[in-house]
Amino acid sequence: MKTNNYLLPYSYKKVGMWMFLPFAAVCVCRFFNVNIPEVKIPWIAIGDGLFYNGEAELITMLGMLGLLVSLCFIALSREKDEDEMTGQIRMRSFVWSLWFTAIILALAILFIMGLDFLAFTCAAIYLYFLVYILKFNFTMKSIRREVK
Amino acid sequence: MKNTVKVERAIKDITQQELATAVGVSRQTVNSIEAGGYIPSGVLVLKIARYFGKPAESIFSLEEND
Repeated sequence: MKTNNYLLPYSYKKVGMWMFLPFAAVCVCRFFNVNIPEVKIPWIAIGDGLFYNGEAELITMLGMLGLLVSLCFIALSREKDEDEMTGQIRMRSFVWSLWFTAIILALAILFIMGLDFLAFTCAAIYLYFLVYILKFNFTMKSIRREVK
Repeated sequence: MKNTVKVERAIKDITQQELATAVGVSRQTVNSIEAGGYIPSGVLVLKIARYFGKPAESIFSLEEND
């Protein structure tokens, strides 16, 4: 009985890992206002009323997009030995991560104010992926260690 | 849910890896099933039972608190 679990092939995990470091570095630099060059390009998007017609910062945009893609590749690709137990660990890690991020977000709502809160909510989107990846891989590693 | 997979495996004299390959899961899944750490799906229960040539109920049984 085959069911589609919407996961990418295992090779995507390796690609995601290689992509993660440079894009994460760009995002961390932007988050902590480290001086890296800015490349402004004309851009049309949604915002400032209905349409935002102005400039966008290319490095930040590519950094955030690249980080999201790399995290998706790492989080949503199969394991080499993917089976039904891996699926269950995956599901549990998703739930655990959702609870963890929700608690962190609740604390942020209470204790972070102003523009810092907006910056934090943006980072919290990535936090969910990161916590899931850490939880899932830590569980898998401990199970594999038990077998050895 | 308790099971006698380890006993059945010993009777048939096969390794965890051999059973895992035969039923299409990883070795750590077989190890977790034997240790009671993972409750297999209905499909996997039936596959294991078919592999040992016994009814599923003779290998897997419910515990009082299930």
